[in-house]
Amino acid sequence: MLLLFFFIMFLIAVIVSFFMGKNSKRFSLIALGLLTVFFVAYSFVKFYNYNGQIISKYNFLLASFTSSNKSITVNINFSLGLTGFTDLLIITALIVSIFSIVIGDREKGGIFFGLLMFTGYGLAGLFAMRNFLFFFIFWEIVLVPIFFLISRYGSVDKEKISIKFFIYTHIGSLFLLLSIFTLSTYYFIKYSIFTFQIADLMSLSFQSAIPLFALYFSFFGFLLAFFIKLPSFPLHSWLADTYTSSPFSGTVMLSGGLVTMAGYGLLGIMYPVTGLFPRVLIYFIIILGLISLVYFGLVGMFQTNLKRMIAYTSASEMSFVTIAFGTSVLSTGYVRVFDLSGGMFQTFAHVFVASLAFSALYFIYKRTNTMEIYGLRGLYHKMPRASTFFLASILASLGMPTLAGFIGEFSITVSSFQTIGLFTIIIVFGLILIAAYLIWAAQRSLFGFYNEKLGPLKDLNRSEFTILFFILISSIFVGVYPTLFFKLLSIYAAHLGGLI
Amino acid sequence: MNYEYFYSIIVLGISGFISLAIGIKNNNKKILAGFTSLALIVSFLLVLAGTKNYNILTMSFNSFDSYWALIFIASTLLIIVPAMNDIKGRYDVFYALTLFMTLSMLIAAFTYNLIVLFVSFEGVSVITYVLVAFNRTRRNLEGSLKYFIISTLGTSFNILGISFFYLATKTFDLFSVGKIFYSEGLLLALVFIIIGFGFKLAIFPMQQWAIDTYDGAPNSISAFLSTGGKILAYMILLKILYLGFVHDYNYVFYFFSILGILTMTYGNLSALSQNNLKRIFAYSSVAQAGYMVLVFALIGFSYFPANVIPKSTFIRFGIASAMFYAVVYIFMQGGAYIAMNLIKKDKIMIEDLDGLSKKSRLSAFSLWIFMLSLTGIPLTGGFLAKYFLFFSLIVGGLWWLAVIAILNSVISVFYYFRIILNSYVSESDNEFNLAPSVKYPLFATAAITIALGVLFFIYTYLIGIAAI
Repeated sequence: MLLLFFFIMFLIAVIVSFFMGKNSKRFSLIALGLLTVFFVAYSFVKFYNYNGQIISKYNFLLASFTSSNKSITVNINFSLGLTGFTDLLIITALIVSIFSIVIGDREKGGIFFGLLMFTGYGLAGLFAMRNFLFFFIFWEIVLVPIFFLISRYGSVDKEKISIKFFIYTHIGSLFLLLSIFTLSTYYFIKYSIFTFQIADLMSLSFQSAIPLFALYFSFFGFLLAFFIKLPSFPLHSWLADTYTSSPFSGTVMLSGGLVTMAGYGLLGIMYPVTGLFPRVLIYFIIILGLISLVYFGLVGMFQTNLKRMIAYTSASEMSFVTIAFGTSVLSTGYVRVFDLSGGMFQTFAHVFVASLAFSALYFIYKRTNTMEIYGLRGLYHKMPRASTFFLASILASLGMPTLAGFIGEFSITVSSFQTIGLFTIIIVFGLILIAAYLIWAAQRSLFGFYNEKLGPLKDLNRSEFTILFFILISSIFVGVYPTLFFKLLSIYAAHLGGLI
Repeated sequence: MNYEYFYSIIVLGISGFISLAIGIKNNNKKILAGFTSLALIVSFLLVLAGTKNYNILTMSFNSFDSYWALIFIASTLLIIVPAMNDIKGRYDVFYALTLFMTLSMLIAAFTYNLIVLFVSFEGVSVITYVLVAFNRTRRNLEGSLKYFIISTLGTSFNILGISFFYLATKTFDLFSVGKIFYSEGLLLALVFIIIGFGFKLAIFPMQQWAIDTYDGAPNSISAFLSTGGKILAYMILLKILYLGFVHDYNYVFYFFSILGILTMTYGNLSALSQNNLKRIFAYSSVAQAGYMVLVFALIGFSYFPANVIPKSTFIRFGIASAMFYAVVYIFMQGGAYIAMNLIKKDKIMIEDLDGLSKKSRLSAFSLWIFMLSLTGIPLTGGFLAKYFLFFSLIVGGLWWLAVIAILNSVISVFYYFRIILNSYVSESDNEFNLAPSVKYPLFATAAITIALGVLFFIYTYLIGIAAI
């Protein structure tokens, strides 16, 4: 019940933040801070003795119909529940909302912060829902505030790009919906009851009984939706435009919030039925992950715009999740648990990496008004603090130990060696590629002689420094004390992998 | 004979004459609109009170029929207040005509006799010819003339279809369709009825009049024509196809799967290149009709899932989603047309919306709700309506139709979101008509559209009453 209370309070905070005008930023931050404290305390109590099951379940029958001869039953439930994975994802949804709000300008007004809060609410709700109808509603509703954010506060070509983003992700969502309906229909054929409960529809015993055609159709819908959001190789063309055009708060939300939806979809929703995947599909997924990793690395290398470059880096980091998803199906035992929890950890830790990178870039952009590498040079001479943070974010992106990105990438690389063998060299190659061009970019933009055309620049002021310091500290905390999270994830992964 | 079931109809007729009588003394639009709304609400309550399983002659008064009756009353109620803005002159005649029109629609909702259905439908048509031309401007008269000619053509096809139906089944009563005496005649009847009501429903090859008429008519009349008038034709077709062609008549499936695909694709693709706002909505209503007629394809479908899901089950789902779609459609499409009253122009282009959100935030928000709902975004009625429709298609095994419909629904994002973007991104000095009689109906309609998207039990309730 406390979980429901949390969501109701959150909803009230979202609605109020729309009407607060100039005070909206302060209000949103206070509200989100309180909610985060509340939720972290709640999860500490609830997850102290975690055993991998779904906990804090809440189920409410919203509408139902039973025909007089009991041959048709339709149930529409509102169900909540948490696993170790979703618990961490809700915390990240709260934290990423804080990050994105804290770097926004106070003058932008109530609508701006209200939309960010709304996105955060959609994310948190998505992770808690245990019913596919509501899962889909939250999955789709997240797009609407992001659409408004880009189209109203975005930069170049905002109208076109916001529609492109919306349509691209909308296609995936609709196929996801058709898949859900297909599963529900076959569930009815078997048990003569229509339900949208995730636990019922995503169970191995049920899905192994439905005809192959319907099964593959549903796999197609789910994977399409998740791979568009992730984004994976052939479905990524919305990514760079959207990240570049949206305001920085929106970019933090997109890279830290919206891509975790895809990670959750693959590892949290889809994983229980991966046992039914044909071998070809698994190899296909792994190959997609490998291609994405290297391809986004190569594309990122040739970007001259730092924001676009970081966008591609963020996408190639997320392809580790695809690789973990594919390889963990093939592996067994503890390797599988390691692989899975690595993928979950990558989803979780990516938030900190991406937020730090985009926030640091934002403060540089605010002063120099350019994100082109060739327009920036020698920033370190004028803005040492901002440059340091940006350098730290780059190190986090390339997977430096003690920063958030390392643990996930390490465990995925190690455990995928058990299944794909020497092909791991592609992963290593991708990692080197990312490291190379990011450091190269840092060298070109931060070091060297100062570009006098930029004029006199001021370094970060105290509040900006605090913001970046806060984000960096949280990233370091995740990097040096990952056990706190990794343990939770590995228990859940062990449960998924059938070891508990 | 038990007359209490007819009270809702009688009230409307008497109030029509009273409103004419009021008009002799003074032609005050506020009094007349208030009186008409009151009459409609009374009739609404009487329909609710009179819902029982009761059949007399060929009329039936169970929940299914009452549900449609309530929808029709709501569709008229929707335009009463907005009409105060765009109707000029004889208000008493206008409101009396809307009341008589509602009366005709109620009769159509309760009856199952083809002749009565035909006559009541023509009753509505004749009144709408007058309403379209009510302001007597050039655009009105042009729209009305087109509508009149094409609609008359449709009427003649209907008569032919009904005659052939009689030849084939020896009855006009849809409840007592039994043996088929002349099966080629049944096919002819189907073709003629599809053409006839297809003109009224504006599905693909028969849609062009609708674009011009909705564009030329006063805004509130366009709202009625594209919602109430269309839903009436839809309901009549639903009754005829479900009860009249019960013998696993596969042609129904062939015709409507093809017509549905063509209609929605045509509507969506044509709307993309339009800049005239009322024409965009007209094309969007064509596309929406394309989604709706997929239910007919489902009704006629009887192949693949017959061994796993009984046909009665998925037809029940189909009819329930048709009923749900109808009510949501009335509010979202009607709301979109009512919102056109905000603009003080005759010919409304998409640029005329620029800067709306600066002038009135809530009006712009209501317009966005209608657009989001027409697109099918969650927390609006359109989401549940569209996706329960797709759900019933998948339950019936027609997943490929659902895929085509979904791809169409993706196309529609382009033009609906263009309208949203125009209303709040672009800056402009446009003046808007923000009179209370324009604003408040808009807010109320938007609120209902949201409510329909949140109240899930409506759909499960409809599955319960969806057996004719």
